[in-house]
Amino acid sequence: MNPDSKIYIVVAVLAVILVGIFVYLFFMDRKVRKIEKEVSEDSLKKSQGGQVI
Amino acid sequence: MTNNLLIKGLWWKALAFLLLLYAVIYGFFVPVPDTMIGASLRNVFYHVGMWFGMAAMLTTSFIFSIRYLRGFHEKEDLVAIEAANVGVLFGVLGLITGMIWAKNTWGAFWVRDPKLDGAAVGMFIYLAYMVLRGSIDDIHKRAKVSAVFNIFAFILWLVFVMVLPRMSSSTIHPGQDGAPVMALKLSSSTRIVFWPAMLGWMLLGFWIMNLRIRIRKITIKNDELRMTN
Repeated sequence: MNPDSKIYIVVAVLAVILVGIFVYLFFMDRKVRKIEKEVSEDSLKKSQGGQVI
Repeated sequence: MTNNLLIKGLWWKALAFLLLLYAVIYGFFVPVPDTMIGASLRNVFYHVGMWFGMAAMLTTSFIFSIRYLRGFHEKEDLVAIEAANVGVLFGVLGLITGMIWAKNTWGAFWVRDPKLDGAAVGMFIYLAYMVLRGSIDDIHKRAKVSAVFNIFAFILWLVFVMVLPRMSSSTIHPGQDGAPVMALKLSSSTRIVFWPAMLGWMLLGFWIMNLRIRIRKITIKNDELRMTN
């Protein structure tokens, strides 16, 4: 590869996009996990005869 | 709690990230053989990854449709549909990236070719699966009918994407002589990016699928809670 081709700039851009997508996925994953926990706590309360929401 | 968040099921997601980061960076610098298509050969790390991702997702979908028919557990139907959804996403990206590459290699976005036409027919089969699911209101009926269709769809997809292009002598698309892609004929330097990249794309697919399944489960559970309230 020609070192003057500045392709490394493109690589940097792609790497940023990739990191961005993965960070986004990671936070989405965390949010889903939090809601999962809430829903399972709600259904637990429900099974014990409590009021939900 | 934070500890738990970080450890549980995180390693393979982190692996997907590291593999793809490696592929996106080193894929541009690894020496590739000097062929007619020049540096665009590097597209195999990304374009072919879409098809590996799609194949992994559709295989998962197929397996879970069979499992559903053996026990009629709703959870297995969920995996089947969400795997197929992500598979179609990869398929669309595979078609678009392939068209860009084709335009610059063969001079047209689409050429009459068994591999390309097969991939398009394969997409239509799965779009039919989505339409079929959307057209049945009863959830048990929907799950059963679409599981049967899905098994049929996967076999047809294999025939159109894997078998027919290989049997045809006139295909212009590489990778038709035995190996699933041109990968096995790639130089050893290219292979050290290719296979990690393929694994990375497949793991990324599993992650998105995993999220979609979990969101769907929450929705179902939430509906149940409301109904019993």
